[in-house]
Amino acid sequence: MTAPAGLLAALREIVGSERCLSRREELLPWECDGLTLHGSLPSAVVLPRDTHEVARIVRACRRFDTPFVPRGAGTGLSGGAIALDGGVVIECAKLDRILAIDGANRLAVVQPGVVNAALSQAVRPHGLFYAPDPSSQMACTIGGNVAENAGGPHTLKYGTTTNHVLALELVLPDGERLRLGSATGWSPGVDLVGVVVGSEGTVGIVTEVTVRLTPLPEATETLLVLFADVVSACRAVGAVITSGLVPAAMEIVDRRTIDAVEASVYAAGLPRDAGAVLLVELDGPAEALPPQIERIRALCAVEGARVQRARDDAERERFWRARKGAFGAMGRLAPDLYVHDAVVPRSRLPEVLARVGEICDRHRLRLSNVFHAGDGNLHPNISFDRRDADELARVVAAGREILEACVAVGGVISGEHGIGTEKRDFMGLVFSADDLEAQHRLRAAFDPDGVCNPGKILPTPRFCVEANPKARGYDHVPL
Amino acid sequence: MPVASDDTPAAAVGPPPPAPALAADAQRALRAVAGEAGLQEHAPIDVDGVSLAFTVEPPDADAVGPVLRVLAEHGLPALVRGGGSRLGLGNPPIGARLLLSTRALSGITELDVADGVLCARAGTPLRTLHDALEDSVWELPLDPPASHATLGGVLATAAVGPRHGGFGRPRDIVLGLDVTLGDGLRARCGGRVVKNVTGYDLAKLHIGGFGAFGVLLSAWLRLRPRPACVRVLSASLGDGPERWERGLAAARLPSARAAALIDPALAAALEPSRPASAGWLLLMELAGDEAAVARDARLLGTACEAAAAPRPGTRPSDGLVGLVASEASPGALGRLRALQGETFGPVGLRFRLAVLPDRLGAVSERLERAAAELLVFPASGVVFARVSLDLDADLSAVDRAWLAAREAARAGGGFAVLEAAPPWAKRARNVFGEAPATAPLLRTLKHRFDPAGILNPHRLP
Repeated sequence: MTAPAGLLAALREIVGSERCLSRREELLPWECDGLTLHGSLPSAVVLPRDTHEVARIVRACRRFDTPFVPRGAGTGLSGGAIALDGGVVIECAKLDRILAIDGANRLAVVQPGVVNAALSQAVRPHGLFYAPDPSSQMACTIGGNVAENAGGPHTLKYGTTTNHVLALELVLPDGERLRLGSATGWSPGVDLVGVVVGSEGTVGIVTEVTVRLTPLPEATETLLVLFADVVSACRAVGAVITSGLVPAAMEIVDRRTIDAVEASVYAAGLPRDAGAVLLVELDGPAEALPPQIERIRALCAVEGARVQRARDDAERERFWRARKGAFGAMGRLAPDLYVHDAVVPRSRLPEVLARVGEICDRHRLRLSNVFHAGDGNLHPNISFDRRDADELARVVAAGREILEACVAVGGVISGEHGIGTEKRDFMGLVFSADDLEAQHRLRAAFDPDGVCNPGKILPTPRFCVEANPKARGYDHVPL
Repeated sequence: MPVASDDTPAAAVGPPPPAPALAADAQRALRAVAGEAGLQEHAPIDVDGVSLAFTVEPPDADAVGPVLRVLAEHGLPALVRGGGSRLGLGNPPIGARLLLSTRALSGITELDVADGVLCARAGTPLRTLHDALEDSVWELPLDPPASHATLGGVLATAAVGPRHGGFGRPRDIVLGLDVTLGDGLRARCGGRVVKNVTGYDLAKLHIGGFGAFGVLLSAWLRLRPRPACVRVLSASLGDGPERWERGLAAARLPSARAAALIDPALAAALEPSRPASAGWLLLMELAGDEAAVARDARLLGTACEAAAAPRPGTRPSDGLVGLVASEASPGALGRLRALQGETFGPVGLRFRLAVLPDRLGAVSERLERAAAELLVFPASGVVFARVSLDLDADLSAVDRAWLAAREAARAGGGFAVLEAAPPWAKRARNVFGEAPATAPLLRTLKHRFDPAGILNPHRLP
């Protein structure tokens, strides 16, 4: 779908021709995000440099009745950054300045296009870092993190993006600018910052973010714990959590992932005979960590595990390279990878993992697991070849069954990737029609005409009814 | 005689304002959905000058929707009440015709020890929740003043206590909510798992929403591991400007679960035997592993005293040099909590400021010029300032104090809220400060969630 000629002219007037793309070959990189299964070509891509330009772009889109979609680095995994129905992509890559670093008050003010890891690097001389650390942190942007309420391995201790955003500047869907929250992190009234974080770019375009920074820990210890199988690793995670320890991260990598990693450039020397590896990171005052390590050794020993302690930073980085490179390593297994994202109560991990394995076996799919065990956040990864139509159909069918299995034990269908277009039509697995009506109301208060990133998060009423005849087992949760 | 709400100072209760009657047909309709005992007429209760003589009490969560529909049909705005401990917060509920009590919505529906999560109904007193967890490996990370406060009231007002530095805020611990919106629609949001981005984070709208968008029915909460070791310490910080840097360094110790700086006058109320010459009091609670607590206590203690100046390459906590810490009485934190929630004197004002931590000195100076007594949580930048007015004070005295608080907050890069005041002093002013730029959006949200405007009218800006 092409953009109205008048709109293109208006956009070029705002940002210039070089920052307004409209030819098909120019638009292709914006056809999809990290979820390559879903694609839709935008009618135009604009790259504003400041909030004023964003506001003018939004008003121009409104004049020509054209929807618009904010986009960061496009690393999202739920189709949230694609433009449906000929929408315009407002690419925030050029809004990439760190506007202020206030070490004394442990905060920074950034534009949305600042890369996550770059922020941590910039504030390191102040003895601080930005805690949310999604696996894509070398590329993903703070604006995208805000949209998705991004997490990462260290959310177990430090929380997700919503715990680290103090204030926002937002261009509303009518083009008005609005500041929410305060640099103090408190709001005098309603917590609208909290409402906007995680709204997947559907309530406006974030143009400035004030984030909380966290002191670099005095000491860090990383343990690699080797288990015979994933189930015993999950049991050990449960034991650690209920013991009162709060590790910074607890990540499980299963056997198939170990094989993929060790055969790749991310090889970390993981033992090929281990059924599963648990990566535990502890941080805090140096003298507080040794007793914690001993407690974890004892708890893991109950499951017959062996514990290796990273001897130095190089070894720690090697352990983490294996974890964070897992998705890349899976590229060796098949041309395509479907990274699922769901959360279950931690204590239900063993049975859900078994169920996920059974589902994939039945559908003859190649499954590997690498996940945030401490949070109960699963990432079943299915390697496949999209050119094989039959396999693709089985991937989709298995995906739905996996989500149903998670919801059946009180879980939810996304822990950090968001809903986007990927899971929009599965929202009825978790929520009733009335629950979704409340979410519609929220969205409509910001965007009554549905022009800001339409087609995301909320299903059409038809899907609600089909997907949730009886809330699929979630009704037993006495919320 | 009107009965003061629990947080209302006695002096605020003047001549009884006329309590609105409830039409007979409205009473019948409410009894039809809430039961015969579900509508009570009582002595007028004064809330910020609004007199209320009826309370409707839905017997269970299912009855809340029908009750709200009756209220909408009859045009009867209601003030939602939990334990009554925070009825005086927010703007006066002008136009409210009755109270809607959540008292019957009480009890824990699930305590999952394996996962460290809990679900409780909104009317459950916090004390009940703490008691239920007493022998557990988990603790409830909520400690606002008034243990009879209910879970729903604490969440609706986003109330925090002295431990908010370690516990986080209500927004950080709520995993999911069950809510009945103003038009009776019952809607859940979130869930019971500790990480969740499934749909909009509607819970954030309700936490701190002063009940303006819906009646909270129940909540899933994330619990915290009970620490192995807890120590309460105090130290005198004197009156010099270095108290702010030292206080902030102490409050930022990793195991600091609570850390308050208390001005000499309030410190005397906390520890009567303490001489005023001792200056500002630092009261801290350290919690965590024994090794972590011991390490931080040592930093707070006499080992720091010997150091004359920070050593090269030392960490920020070494700013604690010169402190002499001692064990405080175990009840000190409870007294601090009570102090935070008190209203002061017969004609007193209480402000809550949120400012940037490194500007606390400037903020404090301005507030002290306005004769305010201060309780400061340096790590979070939260300041409770109380100003006692003369008995014959008029609105201009309130205006002066309010202006001073707002200017101090502005100098601190934050804002001020008027938390407690006599009804006459709250009327005709927005206790949240100037009308915020978000006001039109808030009105739209209010209209979408409570189209008839029957929930906690006028509470928000």
